[in-house]
Amino acid sequence: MLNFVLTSVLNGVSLAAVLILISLGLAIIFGLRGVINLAHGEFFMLGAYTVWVTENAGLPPFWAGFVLAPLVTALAGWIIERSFIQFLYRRPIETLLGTWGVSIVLRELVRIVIGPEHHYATQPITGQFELLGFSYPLYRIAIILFTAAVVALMVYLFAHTDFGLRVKATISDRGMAEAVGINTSRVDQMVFVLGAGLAGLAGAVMSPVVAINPNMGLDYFARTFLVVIIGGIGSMLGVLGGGSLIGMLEAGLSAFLKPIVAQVIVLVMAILVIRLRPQGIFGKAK
Amino acid sequence: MNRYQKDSRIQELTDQLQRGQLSRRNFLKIAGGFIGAAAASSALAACGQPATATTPAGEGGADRVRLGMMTTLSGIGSIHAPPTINAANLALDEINAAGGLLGKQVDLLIEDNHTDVDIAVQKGLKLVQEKKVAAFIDFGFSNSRFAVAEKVALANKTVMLSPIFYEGGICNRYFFNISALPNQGINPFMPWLMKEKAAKSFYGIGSAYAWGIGSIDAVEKAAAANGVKFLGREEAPFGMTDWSAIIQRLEAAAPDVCFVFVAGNDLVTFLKQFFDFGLNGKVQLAFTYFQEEVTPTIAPEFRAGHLSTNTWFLSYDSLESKKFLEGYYRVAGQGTLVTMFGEGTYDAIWMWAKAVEKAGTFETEKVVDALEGLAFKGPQGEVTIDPKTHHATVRCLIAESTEDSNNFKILADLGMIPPDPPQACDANSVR
Amino acid sequence: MSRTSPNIEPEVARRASPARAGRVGRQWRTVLAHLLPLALLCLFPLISSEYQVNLLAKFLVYAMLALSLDLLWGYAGILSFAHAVFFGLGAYSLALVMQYWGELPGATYLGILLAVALPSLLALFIGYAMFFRRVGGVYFAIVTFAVGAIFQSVTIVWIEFTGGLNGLYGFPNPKLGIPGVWEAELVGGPLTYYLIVAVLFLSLLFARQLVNSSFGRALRAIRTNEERVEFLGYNVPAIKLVIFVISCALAGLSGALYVPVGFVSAEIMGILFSTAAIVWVAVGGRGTLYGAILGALVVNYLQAFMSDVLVFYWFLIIGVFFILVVLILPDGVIGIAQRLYRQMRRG
Repeated sequence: MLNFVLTSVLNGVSLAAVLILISLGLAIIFGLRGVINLAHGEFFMLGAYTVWVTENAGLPPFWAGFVLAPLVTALAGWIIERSFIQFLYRRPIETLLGTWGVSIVLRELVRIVIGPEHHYATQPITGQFELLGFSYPLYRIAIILFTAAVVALMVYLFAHTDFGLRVKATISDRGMAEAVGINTSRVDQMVFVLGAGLAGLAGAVMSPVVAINPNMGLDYFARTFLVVIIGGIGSMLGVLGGGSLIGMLEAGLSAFLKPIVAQVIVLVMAILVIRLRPQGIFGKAK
Repeated sequence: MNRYQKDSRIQELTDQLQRGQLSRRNFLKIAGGFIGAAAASSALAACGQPATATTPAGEGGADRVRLGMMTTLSGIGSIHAPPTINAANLALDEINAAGGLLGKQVDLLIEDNHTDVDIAVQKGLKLVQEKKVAAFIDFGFSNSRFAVAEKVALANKTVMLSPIFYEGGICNRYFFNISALPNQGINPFMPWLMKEKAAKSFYGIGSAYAWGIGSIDAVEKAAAANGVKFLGREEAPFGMTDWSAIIQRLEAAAPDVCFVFVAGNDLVTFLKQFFDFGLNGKVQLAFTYFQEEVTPTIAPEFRAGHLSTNTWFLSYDSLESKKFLEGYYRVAGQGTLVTMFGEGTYDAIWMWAKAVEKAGTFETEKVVDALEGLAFKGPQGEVTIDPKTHHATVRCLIAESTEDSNNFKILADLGMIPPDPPQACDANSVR
Repeated sequence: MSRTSPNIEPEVARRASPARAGRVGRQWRTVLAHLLPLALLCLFPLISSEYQVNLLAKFLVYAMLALSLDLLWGYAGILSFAHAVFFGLGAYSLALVMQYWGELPGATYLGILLAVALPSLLALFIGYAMFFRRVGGVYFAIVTFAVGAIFQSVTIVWIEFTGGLNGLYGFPNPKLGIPGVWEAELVGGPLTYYLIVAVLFLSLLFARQLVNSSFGRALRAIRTNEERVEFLGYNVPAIKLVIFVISCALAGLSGALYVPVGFVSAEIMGILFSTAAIVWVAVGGRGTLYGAILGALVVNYLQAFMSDVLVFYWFLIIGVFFILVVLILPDGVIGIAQRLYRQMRRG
C-alpha cells in the first residue's frame, strides 16, 4: 500500500515537473507581452530532435544534444521573433493565428527534412532507484531534481539580476521602463529567446521518455496552456502552482480511474477554476 | 498607405453591402470579382473534367486502365506508407511487364489520405468519381476505413481492397480485406503462448479506439475460451505522454503476458516508459503489430524478446518471398524498409489483377464475383478470399524480435488461417 | 495620401450627386450583387461533375460554419476554440435521430430541431456561466479550448453511442418533404446542394439583418471597447450571451447540413477543426460576413488543390500561407481586392 501511494505521489510530482519545465517558457512570454505562442510546443519538439540529430551525427549521446538543444531553439526563437512576432505584439489574435502557422511550418519542415519515422535517443540515466522493495525510474527522479534546479535558476534570474529587473520593470510599466532608458525591444527579444530556449531544454530532457516525432509538441499543447492560465499570469509561483496542480491531479486521478476519465475531470476542474477565479490561482486580481 | 485608410475602404464596401446601399463603384468591383471567379471555376471544371468522362469505368484511354491507391503519406500514419508505395510500384511493374491487364497497361494513381477521415473520403471520391479508377487500394487507419468503405466503395459500387490488419466489422459487397483479423492473430497466438511460454494470465493495453478496444476484446474472449485468466485492461487516449499510472497497475496485476495494441507514436512512448520502470523481463509483451519499423526506436538493450504475430516478416523464408524481395529491392533500392504492409499491398494488387483476368473485364460486378474464392500465391503463401465474408485466409507467423530490427526470429508458422469476423458477415447481403 | 486630398473628392462628389447615387440605385445594385453569385451557384451543377458539386456543397457548409463564427468573433470579438463542438453536436443530433428513429415520419425534422436546440442549450449554459462572471478574452478562449478537448475525448471513447473515431454510418438518410405526401432523400447530389445553397443564403440575409440592427451596433461596440459599453448602461453579458447562442445555433444547423455531404465522426468535434474555422474567418477577413464565406471557400479549395499537385508539401504550404495572411493580409482576401483596385487606380 505504501508502495502504491509513494509511486503515485512520485508519478504526480514527475508529471508536474515535466509540465512546469515545458510551461515556464510559455508563461514568461505570455506574462511579458500577452503573446500566446501556439508554436511553443514546436520549440519543445525541436529540442528533442536536436538530441537525436546530434547523436545520429556521432556526437556523445544525449549530453551533446542536451547542451545544444536550448541554443538551437533559442536561435530559432530569435529568428521567429525578429522576422515575425515583433510586428504582432499589439494584435493578440493575429499572433495566435501567425504562431499557429509557424507551428504548422515547423512540424512540416521537420517531417519533410528528417522524415516521419520514429527516432530513438539514448537515455543518459537508466535503471531504477531501489530501496526496500520500492523501485522508481532514476531518470524520472532526475527530471524532478533538474526541474527544481531550473526553477531555482529562473527565480534567481528574475529576482537578483539586472536582466530580471529590466523584465519586471517592462512588465510593470512599459512606458515608464522606456522612459528610464530600458531598451524594451531588446527585453522582448531576450524574453522570447529565453522562453524558446527553455522549451528546447524541456524537449531535450524529455527526449528519452516520449516518442520523438514531428507532432510531439501537440501532445502537450492543451495542458501547457491550462497550466499557465490556471496558475496565473505574471508569477513564477503561478507556473509552479498550475503545473503542480494539474500534474498531481491528473496523476492522482489516473491512479485509480481510467486515464480518459482523469483527463476529462482535470479539464472540467480547469474550467471551474477559470470561472471562479479568472486570474488564476496565484495570479493578481484585476 | 496607412491601416486606417485600408480599414475604411473595406468597411465601406461591406458596410454598403450590408446596409443595402451599394455604390456603383463597389458593385462593379464585386461583379468583376464574381465573373472572374466564375471564369476561373469553369476553366478548372473544364480541364478537371476527365477526358475519359464518356469512357467506361477505369479505362484511362484506349490502352490504359487506372488503379487507385490511398495511403497515409502524411499525418500520424506517415511512417507506414513508404513500403506500401514501393510494393505497389513493384506489383504494377510486374503486371505491366507481362503485358498489362486484358491488353491494357495499368496506371497507379496515388492519393494521400493524411490519416484523416474527411480527407480520406474526399480523396476516395475523387479517385472513384473523377478519375474513374477501376478499383482502389485503401491503406489507412481504422478511423477512416469504415467511412471509405461506406461512402466511397459501397456508395459508388467500386472495388476496395484493404491490405492492413484491423479489428473486423466491415461487411459489404465491394470491400475486400487482404490481411489479418483478430481471429487470425490473437486466437492462435494465445494457445501457443500458453504452451511455449507457460502463460496462465493475460492483460490488455491499447489505444482507446476501435482497433485497440476491439483487439483487447478479442484477447478477453480468447482467454475465456482457453480457460486462462484475463487480469485487466487499459484504454489510453491518443497523445498520452505519461503512462506511469497504467504501468503501475500493470505491475501490480503481474500478468504473464501483456498484449499491447497501442497505435502510432504512443506505442513508442509507452515502450520507453515501460522499460524505464524496469518491467522488461517481468512481463512478456505480445503484439499483433510489432515489426521492422518499430524496433529501431527502442534502446538496443531492450529490443529483443518481444513476441508478435504477423502475416509476414522480412525474415520469412519462401520462394515467393525471395522473389518478392528481389523485385522490391530492385524497385526501391537495396535494403529499403519493407514490412507486412508492403507485402499485403502487393498481394492485394495482384489478386485484383488475377480477378480481372478471370472475369475477362474490368466491370465491377464481374470482378467482385471473380474475387470471391480467388487464390493467389504471394510471399506469405497462398492467400484465398472467402466468398461469404470477403476477408482473406492469411498466414499466422509468430516471431520474436532481436537486436537487429530487420531480423525477427520466426518461432512458429501456424499456417494459413481462414477469417472469422467478430460479427457475422454475409458480404453479398449488403449491396 | 491625405484624406482631404483632391483624389478623394470625386467620390464624395459622386456620392452627393443625386442623379448618380440615388438610393434606389444603390439598393438595386446591392440586390444584384447578391443575386449574381447566387445565380452562379445555381448554375454550377449544370457545368460540373457530381464530385465537384458534392465538394462545393461540403465547402458551403463549412462557409456557413465560418459565417456563424464571424458573428461571434468578427462582430462581438469573442474568440472560441469550441465552435466545432456545436457543429459536431448538430451533426450527431441529426445522425443519431436518423439512426434510432429514422423510420418515423418527420424524423428528419426532429433531428434538425435537436441540431439547433442542443448547441443552443450548451451555449446558453457556457455563456451564462462565463459571461456573467466576466470571463472574457483570452480566458474565455482557453475555456472553450478545454470544452472542445472534453467533448472530443468523450466522443472518441463513447463508442457505443457515437461510433468513436469510426463514426456513424449505415443510418437511414435524412428526408426532405412532407411525410406521406412527397419525400426526397438527402444523400448528396443536386437536391442537397440546392438546399445548402438556400440555407446558406438565408443565413447570410439573417446575419445581415442582425448586424445592421442596433443589436449589431452594440456588438461592434463591445468588440471595440467592452468597458465603455458597460459604462453606457448596456447589459454586456446578456448581449454576449445572445450572440453566443445565436452563433452556436447556426453552427448546429450547419452541422445538420453536413450529414448528407460529409462523414460524422469524432474528428468534427475536435480542436483542430475549430482552429480551421478560425483560420477561414481570418483569411477571408473577419467582421465582414462575406469574408467568412469567401475565406472558407478559398482555404478549402486551396487545400484540395494543393494536396493534389504537391502531395508531400501541401500542409507546409498551408502553414506558410497562414503566416503570410497574418503578416501581409490582416484584412484577408477582401483586403486584396481593395489593394488591387488601388493599384489599378494609381497606374
